[in-house]
Amino acid sequence: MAAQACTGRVDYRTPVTKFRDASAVVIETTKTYLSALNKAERDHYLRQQAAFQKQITASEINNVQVFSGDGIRTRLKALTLLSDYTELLYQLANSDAPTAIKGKASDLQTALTNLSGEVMTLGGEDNAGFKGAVDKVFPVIGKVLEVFVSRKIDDGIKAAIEQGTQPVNDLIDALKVDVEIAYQRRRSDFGTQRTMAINEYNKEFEKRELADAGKLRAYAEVISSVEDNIEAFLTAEPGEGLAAMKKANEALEKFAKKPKPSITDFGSFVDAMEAFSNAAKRAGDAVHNIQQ
Amino acid sequence: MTKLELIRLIGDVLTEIDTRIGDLLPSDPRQRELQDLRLLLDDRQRQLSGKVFDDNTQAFQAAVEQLQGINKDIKRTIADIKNLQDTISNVNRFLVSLTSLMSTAGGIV
Repeated sequence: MAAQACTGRVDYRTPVTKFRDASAVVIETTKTYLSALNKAERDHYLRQQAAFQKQITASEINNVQVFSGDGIRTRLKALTLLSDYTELLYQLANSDAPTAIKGKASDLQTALTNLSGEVMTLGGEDNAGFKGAVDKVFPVIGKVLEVFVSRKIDDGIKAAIEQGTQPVNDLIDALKVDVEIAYQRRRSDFGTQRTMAINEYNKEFEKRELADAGKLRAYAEVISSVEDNIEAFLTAEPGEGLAAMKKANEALEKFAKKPKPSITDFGSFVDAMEAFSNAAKRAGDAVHNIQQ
Repeated sequence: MTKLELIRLIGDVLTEIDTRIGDLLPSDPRQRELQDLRLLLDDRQRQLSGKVFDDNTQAFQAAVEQLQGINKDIKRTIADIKNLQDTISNVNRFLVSLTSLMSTAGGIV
Protein backbone atom coordinates (compact mmCIF):
# COMPACT_ATOMS: atom_id res chain seq x y z
CA MET A 1 0.00 0.00 0.00
CA ALA A 2 2.88 2.37 -0.78
CA ALA A 3 1.70 5.89 -1.36
CA GLN A 4 4.42 6.70 -3.84
CA ALA A 5 6.38 4.67 -6.31
CA CYS A 6 10.07 5.34 -6.70
CA THR A 7 9.28 7.79 -9.53
CA GLY A 8 7.68 10.10 -6.92
CA ARG A 9 4.26 9.80 -8.59
CA VAL A 10 1.40 9.14 -6.24
CA ASP A 11 0.00 5.66 -6.79
CA TYR A 12 -3.75 6.10 -7.23
CA ARG A 13 -4.23 2.70 -8.77
CA THR A 14 -5.76 0.63 -5.97
CA PRO A 15 -8.11 3.24 -4.49
CA VAL A 16 -9.18 4.51 -7.94
CA THR A 17 -9.84 0.92 -8.98
CA LYS A 18 -12.03 0.46 -5.92
CA PHE A 19 -13.76 3.76 -6.69
CA ARG A 20 -14.41 2.63 -10.26
CA ASP A 21 -15.72 -0.80 -9.18
CA ALA A 22 -17.99 0.53 -6.43
CA SER A 23 -19.24 3.32 -8.74
CA ALA A 24 -20.18 0.70 -11.33
CA VAL A 25 -22.34 -1.15 -8.77
CA VAL A 26 -24.03 2.04 -7.53
CA ILE A 27 -24.66 3.28 -11.05
CA GLU A 28 -26.18 -0.04 -12.11
CA THR A 29 -28.48 -0.17 -9.05
CA THR A 30 -29.54 3.42 -9.69
CA LYS A 31 -30.33 2.55 -13.31
CA THR A 32 -32.42 -0.41 -12.14
CA TYR A 33 -34.42 1.82 -9.80
CA LEU A 34 -35.05 4.47 -12.42
CA SER A 35 -35.91 1.94 -15.15
CA ALA A 36 -38.47 0.35 -12.85
CA LEU A 37 -40.05 3.62 -11.69
CA ASN A 38 -42.88 3.87 -14.21
CA LYS A 39 -43.58 0.14 -14.02
CA ALA A 40 -43.75 0.49 -10.23
CA GLU A 41 -46.34 3.27 -10.56
CA ARG A 42 -48.43 1.31 -13.08
CA ASP A 43 -48.35 -1.85 -10.96
CA HIS A 44 -49.11 0.15 -7.82
CA TYR A 45 -52.16 1.73 -9.45
CA LEU A 46 -53.42 -1.64 -10.74
CA ARG A 47 -52.88 -3.32 -7.33
CA GLN A 48 -54.68 -0.51 -5.50
CA GLN A 49 -57.63 -0.53 -7.85
CA ALA A 50 -57.91 -4.33 -7.52
CA ALA A 51 -57.52 -4.23 -3.72
CA PHE A 52 -60.21 -1.57 -3.30
CA GLN A 53 -62.42 -2.93 -6.11
CA LYS A 54 -62.33 0.26 -8.14
CA GLN A 55 -62.45 0.83 -11.89
CA ILE A 56 -59.23 0.80 -13.90
CA THR A 57 -58.93 3.33 -16.74
CA ALA A 58 -56.36 3.47 -19.51
CA SER A 59 -55.89 7.22 -19.15
CA GLU A 60 -55.15 6.88 -15.44
CA ILE A 61 -52.54 4.20 -16.18
CA ASN A 62 -50.85 6.86 -18.33
CA ASN A 63 -51.32 9.64 -15.77
CA VAL A 64 -49.78 7.82 -12.81
CA GLN A 65 -46.37 7.47 -14.44
CA VAL A 66 -44.02 10.03 -12.89
CA PHE A 67 -41.41 10.45 -15.63
CA SER A 68 -41.81 10.44 -19.40
CA GLY A 69 -40.05 7.71 -21.39
CA ASP A 70 -37.57 10.32 -22.67
CA GLY A 71 -36.97 11.53 -19.12
CA ILE A 72 -35.97 8.08 -17.96
CA ARG A 73 -33.94 7.36 -21.08
CA THR A 74 -31.83 10.53 -20.71
CA ARG A 75 -31.25 9.87 -17.02
CA LEU A 76 -30.04 6.36 -17.84
CA LYS A 77 -27.70 7.81 -20.47
CA ALA A 78 -26.38 10.34 -17.94
CA LEU A 79 -25.64 7.46 -15.57
CA THR A 80 -23.81 5.62 -18.36
CA LEU A 81 -21.68 8.71 -19.00
CA LEU A 82 -20.93 8.95 -15.27
CA SER A 83 -19.79 5.33 -15.39
CA ASP A 84 -17.63 6.07 -18.46
CA TYR A 85 -16.08 9.00 -16.61
CA THR A 86 -15.08 6.85 -13.61
CA GLU A 87 -13.73 4.26 -16.06
CA LEU A 88 -11.61 6.98 -17.64
CA LEU A 89 -10.22 7.92 -14.22
CA TYR A 90 -9.38 4.28 -13.67
CA GLN A 91 -7.59 4.08 -17.01
CA LEU A 92 -5.69 7.26 -16.29
CA ALA A 93 -4.45 5.80 -13.03
CA ASN A 94 -3.59 2.41 -14.51
CA SER A 95 -2.39 3.01 -18.02
CA ASP A 96 0.53 4.60 -19.72
CA ALA A 97 -1.13 4.62 -23.16
CA PRO A 98 -1.99 8.29 -23.63
CA THR A 99 -3.27 7.96 -27.21
CA ALA A 100 -5.98 5.44 -26.29
CA ILE A 101 -7.04 7.50 -23.28
CA LYS A 102 -7.16 10.73 -25.26
CA GLY A 103 -9.38 8.96 -27.81
CA LYS A 104 -11.76 7.77 -25.09
CA ALA A 105 -11.85 11.24 -23.52
CA SER A 106 -12.68 12.76 -26.87
CA ASP A 107 -15.50 10.23 -27.42
CA LEU A 108 -16.88 11.00 -23.98
CA GLN A 109 -16.83 14.73 -24.75
CA THR A 110 -18.90 14.06 -27.88
CA ALA A 111 -21.34 11.84 -25.96
CA LEU A 112 -21.75 14.58 -23.33
CA THR A 113 -22.50 17.22 -25.94
CA ASN A 114 -25.04 14.99 -27.67
CA LEU A 115 -26.78 14.05 -24.43
CA SER A 116 -26.83 17.68 -23.33
CA GLY A 117 -28.72 18.52 -26.52
CA GLU A 118 -31.22 15.72 -25.89
CA VAL A 119 -31.81 16.75 -22.29
CA MET A 120 -32.52 20.36 -23.26
CA THR A 121 -35.44 19.19 -25.42
CA LEU A 122 -37.15 17.51 -22.45
CA GLY A 123 -40.39 19.11 -21.38
CA GLY A 124 -42.43 18.79 -18.20
CA GLU A 125 -41.90 19.88 -14.63
CA ASP A 126 -40.60 16.44 -13.68
CA ASN A 127 -37.48 17.09 -15.78
CA ALA A 128 -36.79 20.66 -14.64
CA GLY A 129 -34.34 19.76 -11.86
CA PHE A 130 -32.44 17.27 -14.00
CA LYS A 131 -32.23 19.73 -16.92
CA GLY A 132 -30.89 22.44 -14.63
CA ALA A 133 -28.19 20.13 -13.29
CA VAL A 134 -27.13 18.93 -16.75
CA ASP A 135 -27.02 22.49 -18.07
CA LYS A 136 -24.66 23.44 -15.23
CA VAL A 137 -22.59 20.28 -14.97
CA PHE A 138 -21.94 18.93 -18.45
CA PRO A 139 -19.98 21.93 -19.76
CA VAL A 140 -17.65 21.72 -16.75
CA ILE A 141 -17.04 18.00 -17.20
CA GLY A 142 -16.47 18.73 -20.89
CA LYS A 143 -13.71 21.20 -19.98
CA VAL A 144 -12.09 18.63 -17.68
CA LEU A 145 -12.11 16.10 -20.51
CA GLU A 146 -10.43 18.69 -22.69
CA VAL A 147 -7.43 18.43 -20.33
CA PHE A 148 -7.17 14.70 -21.02
CA VAL A 149 -7.31 15.29 -24.73
CA SER A 150 -4.83 18.13 -24.92
CA ARG A 151 -2.36 17.66 -22.03
CA LYS A 152 -0.21 15.02 -20.37
CA ILE A 153 -1.74 12.08 -18.52
CA ASP A 154 -0.22 13.10 -15.19
CA ASP A 155 -1.90 16.51 -15.48
CA GLY A 156 -5.11 14.78 -16.58
CA ILE A 157 -5.81 12.68 -13.52
CA LYS A 158 -5.14 15.49 -11.07
CA ALA A 159 -7.24 17.91 -13.13
CA ALA A 160 -10.02 15.33 -13.42
CA ILE A 161 -10.15 14.82 -9.70
CA GLU A 162 -9.70 18.46 -8.67
CA GLN A 163 -11.97 20.07 -11.26
CA GLY A 164 -14.31 17.20 -11.98
CA THR A 165 -15.38 16.43 -8.40
CA GLN A 166 -17.86 19.28 -7.96
CA PRO A 167 -19.73 18.86 -11.28
CA VAL A 168 -19.84 15.09 -10.84
CA ASN A 169 -21.25 15.56 -7.33
CA ASP A 170 -23.83 18.06 -8.61
CA LEU A 171 -24.99 15.50 -11.16
CA ILE A 172 -25.14 12.84 -8.43
CA ASP A 173 -27.28 15.20 -6.32
CA ALA A 174 -29.77 15.73 -9.15
CA LEU A 175 -30.07 11.99 -9.85
CA LYS A 176 -30.22 11.20 -6.12
CA VAL A 177 -33.43 13.20 -5.66
CA ASP A 178 -35.14 11.25 -8.46
CA VAL A 179 -33.92 7.93 -7.09
CA GLU A 180 -35.03 8.72 -3.54
CA ILE A 181 -38.46 9.67 -4.83
CA ALA A 182 -38.55 6.35 -6.71
CA TYR A 183 -37.69 4.60 -3.45
CA GLN A 184 -40.53 6.31 -1.54
CA ARG A 185 -43.03 5.43 -4.26
CA ARG A 186 -41.85 1.83 -4.18
CA ARG A 187 -42.22 1.87 -0.41
CA SER A 188 -45.86 2.90 -0.80
CA ASP A 189 -46.44 0.07 -3.25
CA PHE A 190 -44.98 -2.45 -0.82
CA GLY A 191 -47.42 -1.14 1.80
CA THR A 192 -50.31 -1.86 -0.59
CA GLN A 193 -48.98 -5.34 -1.33
CA ARG A 194 -48.85 -6.03 2.38
CA THR A 195 -52.41 -4.92 3.12
CA MET A 196 -53.69 -6.82 0.07
CA ALA A 197 -52.04 -10.04 1.26
CA ILE A 198 -53.37 -9.61 4.82
CA ASN A 199 -56.88 -8.83 3.52
CA GLU A 200 -56.97 -11.99 1.40
CA TYR A 201 -56.11 -14.03 4.48
CA ASN A 202 -58.64 -12.22 6.65
CA LYS A 203 -61.47 -12.53 4.08
CA GLU A 204 -61.02 -16.32 4.34
CA PHE A 205 -60.62 -16.10 8.12
CA GLU A 206 -63.92 -14.22 8.44
CA LYS A 207 -65.69 -17.34 7.13
CA ARG A 208 -64.94 -18.69 10.63
CA GLU A 209 -65.78 -22.43 10.87
CA LEU A 210 -66.28 -22.47 7.08
CA ALA A 211 -62.76 -21.13 6.42
CA ASP A 212 -60.58 -23.41 4.32
CA ALA A 213 -57.49 -24.35 6.36
CA GLY A 214 -55.44 -25.02 3.23
CA LYS A 215 -56.25 -21.59 1.82
CA LEU A 216 -55.42 -19.94 5.13
CA ARG A 217 -52.00 -21.61 5.10
CA ALA A 218 -51.41 -20.54 1.51
CA TYR A 219 -52.42 -16.93 2.24
CA ALA A 220 -50.16 -16.90 5.29
CA GLU A 221 -47.26 -18.00 3.06
CA VAL A 222 -48.00 -15.12 0.69
CA ILE A 223 -47.91 -12.67 3.64
CA SER A 224 -44.62 -14.18 4.75
CA SER A 225 -43.15 -13.76 1.26
CA VAL A 226 -44.30 -10.13 1.02
CA GLU A 227 -42.84 -9.38 4.47
CA ASP A 228 -39.50 -10.88 3.40
CA ASN A 229 -39.47 -8.68 0.30
CA ILE A 230 -40.28 -5.58 2.35
CA GLU A 231 -37.56 -6.36 4.87
CA ALA A 232 -34.98 -6.78 2.11
CA PHE A 233 -36.21 -3.64 0.33
CA LEU A 234 -35.83 -1.54 3.47
CA THR A 235 -32.23 -2.74 3.94
CA ALA A 236 -30.66 -0.21 1.62
CA GLU A 237 -32.04 2.96 0.11
CA PRO A 238 -30.52 3.54 -3.34
CA GLY A 239 -29.83 7.14 -2.40
CA GLU A 240 -27.35 5.84 0.19
CA GLY A 241 -25.20 4.35 -2.55
CA LEU A 242 -25.12 7.66 -4.42
CA ALA A 243 -24.43 9.57 -1.20
CA ALA A 244 -21.51 7.22 -0.54
CA MET A 245 -20.25 7.77 -4.09
CA LYS A 246 -20.34 11.52 -3.54
CA LYS A 247 -18.43 11.18 -0.27
CA ALA A 248 -15.83 8.94 -1.91
CA ASN A 249 -15.49 11.47 -4.72
CA GLU A 250 -14.80 14.18 -2.16
CA ALA A 251 -12.22 11.97 -0.44
CA LEU A 252 -10.53 11.44 -3.82
CA GLU A 253 -10.42 15.21 -4.35
CA LYS A 254 -9.07 15.85 -0.85
CA PHE A 255 -6.31 13.33 -1.41
CA ALA A 256 -5.43 14.66 -4.87
CA LYS A 257 -5.01 18.16 -3.43
CA LYS A 258 -2.32 17.04 -0.93
CA PRO A 259 1.02 18.14 -2.36
CA LYS A 260 2.85 15.44 -0.37
CA PRO A 261 0.37 12.90 1.02
CA SER A 262 1.53 11.09 4.13
CA ILE A 263 0.91 7.43 4.95
CA THR A 264 -1.94 8.62 7.21
CA ASP A 265 -3.46 10.60 4.32
CA PHE A 266 -3.24 7.56 2.11
CA GLY A 267 -4.74 5.37 4.85
CA SER A 268 -7.75 7.73 5.21
CA PHE A 269 -8.17 7.74 1.44
CA VAL A 270 -8.15 3.95 1.26
CA ASP A 271 -10.60 3.74 4.19
CA ALA A 272 -12.97 6.10 2.36
CA MET A 273 -12.87 3.89 -0.75
CA GLU A 274 -13.47 0.81 1.41
CA ALA A 275 -16.54 2.44 3.02
CA PHE A 276 -17.86 3.30 -0.43
CA SER A 277 -17.26 -0.23 -1.62
CA ASN A 278 -19.27 -1.59 1.34
CA ALA A 279 -22.15 0.84 0.72
CA ALA A 280 -22.17 -0.14 -2.94
CA LYS A 281 -22.37 -3.83 -2.02
CA ARG A 282 -25.38 -3.19 0.22
CA ALA A 283 -27.10 -1.24 -2.55
CA GLY A 284 -26.34 -4.00 -5.05
CA ASP A 285 -27.64 -6.73 -2.74
CA ALA A 286 -30.91 -4.89 -2.13
CA VAL A 287 -31.73 -3.93 -5.72
CA HIS A 288 -33.09 -7.26 -6.94
CA ASN A 289 -35.98 -6.85 -4.48
CA ILE A 290 -37.45 -3.95 -6.40
CA GLN A 291 -38.27 -6.36 -9.16
CA GLN A 292 -40.69 -8.20 -6.85
CA MET B 1 -37.99 20.83 5.04
CA THR B 2 -37.46 20.09 1.36
CA LYS B 3 -39.92 18.61 -1.11
CA LEU B 4 -38.13 15.26 -0.80
CA GLU B 5 -38.41 15.32 3.00
CA LEU B 6 -42.13 16.07 2.64
CA ILE B 7 -42.47 13.06 0.32
CA ARG B 8 -40.74 10.96 3.00
CA LEU B 9 -43.09 12.32 5.67
CA ILE B 10 -46.10 11.33 3.57
CA GLY B 11 -44.47 7.91 3.15
CA ASP B 12 -44.22 7.60 6.94
CA VAL B 13 -47.93 8.44 7.30
CA LEU B 14 -48.84 5.92 4.58
CA THR B 15 -46.89 3.24 6.44
CA GLU B 16 -48.69 4.12 9.69
CA ILE B 17 -52.08 3.89 7.96
CA ASP B 18 -51.17 0.59 6.29
CA THR B 19 -50.43 -0.96 9.66
CA ARG B 20 -53.81 0.16 10.98
CA ILE B 21 -55.63 -1.05 7.83
CA GLY B 22 -53.93 -4.41 8.27
CA ASP B 23 -55.25 -4.63 11.85
CA LEU B 24 -58.87 -4.30 10.77
CA LEU B 25 -61.02 -7.02 9.24
CA PRO B 26 -62.23 -6.45 5.66
CA SER B 27 -65.83 -6.37 6.90
CA ASP B 28 -65.05 -3.43 9.20
CA PRO B 29 -66.37 -0.24 7.50
CA ARG B 30 -63.57 1.74 9.14
CA GLN B 31 -61.09 -0.20 7.02
CA ARG B 32 -62.78 1.13 3.88
CA GLU B 33 -62.70 4.64 5.31
CA LEU B 34 -58.97 4.43 5.96
CA GLN B 35 -58.33 2.84 2.57
CA ASP B 36 -60.09 5.73 0.81
CA LEU B 37 -57.92 8.21 2.71
CA ARG B 38 -54.86 6.13 1.88
CA LEU B 39 -55.68 6.23 -1.83
CA LEU B 40 -55.95 10.01 -1.77
CA LEU B 41 -52.76 10.47 0.24
CA ASP B 42 -50.83 8.13 -2.05
CA ASP B 43 -52.07 10.12 -5.05
CA ARG B 44 -50.87 13.38 -3.44
CA GLN B 45 -47.43 11.84 -2.91
CA ARG B 46 -47.32 10.76 -6.54
CA GLN B 47 -48.34 14.22 -7.76
CA LEU B 48 -45.71 15.86 -5.59
CA SER B 49 -43.06 13.54 -7.05
CA GLY B 50 -43.41 14.99 -10.53
CA LYS B 51 -43.78 18.65 -9.65
CA VAL B 52 -41.37 21.50 -9.02
CA PHE B 53 -42.05 24.19 -6.49
CA ASP B 54 -40.16 26.48 -4.19
CA ASP B 55 -39.70 24.77 -0.84
CA ASN B 56 -37.85 27.78 0.58
CA THR B 57 -40.87 30.01 1.09
CA GLN B 58 -42.15 30.81 4.55
CA ALA B 59 -45.63 29.64 3.52
CA PHE B 60 -44.26 26.24 2.53
CA GLN B 61 -42.25 25.84 5.72
CA ALA B 62 -45.22 26.90 7.88
CA ALA B 63 -47.48 24.40 6.10
CA VAL B 64 -44.91 21.63 6.57
CA GLU B 65 -44.63 22.43 10.28
CA GLN B 66 -48.39 22.05 10.55
CA LEU B 67 -48.17 18.67 8.78
CA GLN B 68 -45.45 17.50 11.16
CA GLY B 69 -47.70 18.47 14.09
CA ILE B 70 -50.62 16.50 12.67
CA ASN B 71 -48.33 13.51 12.08
CA LYS B 72 -47.44 13.57 15.77
CA ASP B 73 -51.19 13.41 16.55
CA ILE B 74 -51.55 10.48 14.15
CA LYS B 75 -48.68 8.61 15.84
CA ARG B 76 -50.23 9.28 19.23
CA THR B 77 -53.63 7.83 18.35
CA ILE B 78 -52.78 5.17 15.78
CA ALA B 79 -51.44 2.62 18.25
CA ASP B 80 -54.77 2.46 20.09
CA ILE B 81 -57.51 0.65 18.16
CA LYS B 82 -60.11 2.25 20.45
CA ASN B 83 -58.94 5.64 19.20
CA LEU B 84 -59.47 4.71 15.56
CA GLN B 85 -62.00 7.49 14.93
CA ASP B 86 -59.44 10.04 16.17
CA THR B 87 -56.87 8.50 13.85
CA ILE B 88 -59.23 8.78 10.89
CA SER B 89 -59.91 12.44 11.78
CA ASN B 90 -56.18 13.17 12.07
CA VAL B 91 -55.42 11.51 8.74
CA ASN B 92 -58.22 13.60 7.22
CA ARG B 93 -56.67 16.75 8.68
CA PHE B 94 -53.28 15.74 7.28
CA LEU B 95 -54.79 15.22 3.84
CA VAL B 96 -56.62 18.57 3.89
CA SER B 97 -53.47 20.46 4.98
CA LEU B 98 -51.38 18.70 2.37
CA THR B 99 -53.89 19.46 -0.39
CA SER B 100 -53.91 23.09 0.69
CA LEU B 101 -50.11 23.25 0.67
CA MET B 102 -49.94 21.76 -2.83
CA SER B 103 -52.60 24.11 -4.19
CA THR B 104 -50.87 27.16 -2.74
CA ALA B 105 -47.31 26.17 -3.55
CA GLY B 106 -47.61 24.77 -7.03
CA GLY B 107 -51.08 24.98 -8.44
CA ILE B 108 -51.23 21.21 -8.14
CA VAL B 109 -54.55 19.39 -7.48
